[in-house]
Amino acid sequence: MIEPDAKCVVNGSKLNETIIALNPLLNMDIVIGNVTEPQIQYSEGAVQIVIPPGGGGGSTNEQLDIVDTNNQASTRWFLTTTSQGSASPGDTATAGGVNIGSIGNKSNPSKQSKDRDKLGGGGAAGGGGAGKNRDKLDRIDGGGNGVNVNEGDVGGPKKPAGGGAFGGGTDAFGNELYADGNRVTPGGMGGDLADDGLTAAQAGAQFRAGTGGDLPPLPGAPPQPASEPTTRSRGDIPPPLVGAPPLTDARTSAKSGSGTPGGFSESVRRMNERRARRNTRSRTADRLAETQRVKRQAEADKMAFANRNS
Amino acid sequence: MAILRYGPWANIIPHATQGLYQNYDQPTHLPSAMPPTGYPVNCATSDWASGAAWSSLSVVYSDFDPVYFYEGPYYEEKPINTQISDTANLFAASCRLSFHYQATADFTMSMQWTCNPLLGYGSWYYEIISLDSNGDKVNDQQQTQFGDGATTSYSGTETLDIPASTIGTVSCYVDNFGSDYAGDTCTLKIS
Repeated sequence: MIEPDAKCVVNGSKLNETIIALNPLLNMDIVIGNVTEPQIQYSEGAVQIVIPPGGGGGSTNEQLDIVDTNNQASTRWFLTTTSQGSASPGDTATAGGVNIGSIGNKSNPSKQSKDRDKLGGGGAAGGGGAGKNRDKLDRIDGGGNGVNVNEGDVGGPKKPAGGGAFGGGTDAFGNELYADGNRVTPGGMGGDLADDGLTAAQAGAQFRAGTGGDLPPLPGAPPQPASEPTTRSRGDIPPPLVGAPPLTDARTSAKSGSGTPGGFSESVRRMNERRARRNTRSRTADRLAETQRVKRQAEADKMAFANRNS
Repeated sequence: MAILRYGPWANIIPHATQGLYQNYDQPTHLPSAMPPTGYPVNCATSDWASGAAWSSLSVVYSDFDPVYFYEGPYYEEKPINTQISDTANLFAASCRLSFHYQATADFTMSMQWTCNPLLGYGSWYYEIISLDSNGDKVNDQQQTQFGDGATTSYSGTETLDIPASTIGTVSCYVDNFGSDYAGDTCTLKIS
């Protein structure tokens, strides 16, 4: 800030010289003259840009008769050209990095605010929310109090209604969704899991080891092997984490049971395996959702911090 | 404030409350017995800066029409301060001058006329149409009939007070009145 009584850096004669040099530029005219190349002509107190007649843009001077003050017959010259000038900034989709869409939304700021942009995929948008978090759109509720979809989001992809246990409600088929819109049970409709060929024990061990299929490892998981073997043996199962319950080979124990393959005991065993896998996936989903929420929150905090310092 | 030129020829749209004018290019058939479209547009009493001279449209009835046996009108473009005259060959003599004007300030012109009716009757007339600040037409008409049946020479000079207007119309004429005798004469000049 310049203090009112502060001494000007450029002072006295230097400032006057600058003003004298700038004034002719303010008195600039563009005219069509008898020249072959465009010229800039200086005179005392004025600058003229002289354009040759015709030229690239077909510039011409149109003489306009006028009645001037006191009935004085006079003339005005109207510079015309056949070339259209560059479009105004409003005619382009983006100009100088300015997002026209954002400009357009100034007339209706409720349609697109910073916080609303952070919703991204918008899976957290819930139809039944109480609206208490309208002003905290970077917050994703895990329960039924999902953030309401605002009018400003009209035009975007339709989001499933309802908050749901995973913050994303359910899709049109009733599948529960994560906050980012991914299905919690991608293996099939109605929540059934696709059989990945692993036993409950193997799946559990895989989860604890952070190597569960295409799921990313959780924080704190041991380093990943370079390539995952397509078939597993008992020896491939990494050691359990500290504090983990002892592993048991469910397949071995089932085979050692009294039931015959295909009998009731086998059905119970398979049912238990599916239940175990489902529970494992559910826990994985919970931790994944939590991880994503933490990451989003961290990114939001980082952006907010950067904005404050910019 | 300056006024952009109308025209170069224009015509007022009749029966309009507001002064509505149509612009035309200069007619190519003058002088002619055919009426041109519109009247020339002038800058008060001056020539236009582009070089177009002040002019008015004159109409006289001195020509003899071999078909209809009456004096048909004859249209010409006349410069300022030019006297036009008419002598009746078969019927009455009549001279008319009309023009449009544009002015940023009030100004005056003079209308000089003479009339020599053989039966001693005649008239002069002028009308000034201007536009007020709302664009509505303002009419100023003056008309005088003269003659005692015996005097055969009349003349006069009328001052035309022409108000500022984005566009206006001036028309004036002088003629014999009710004589319809060959040999009647009249002259008219605008300056």
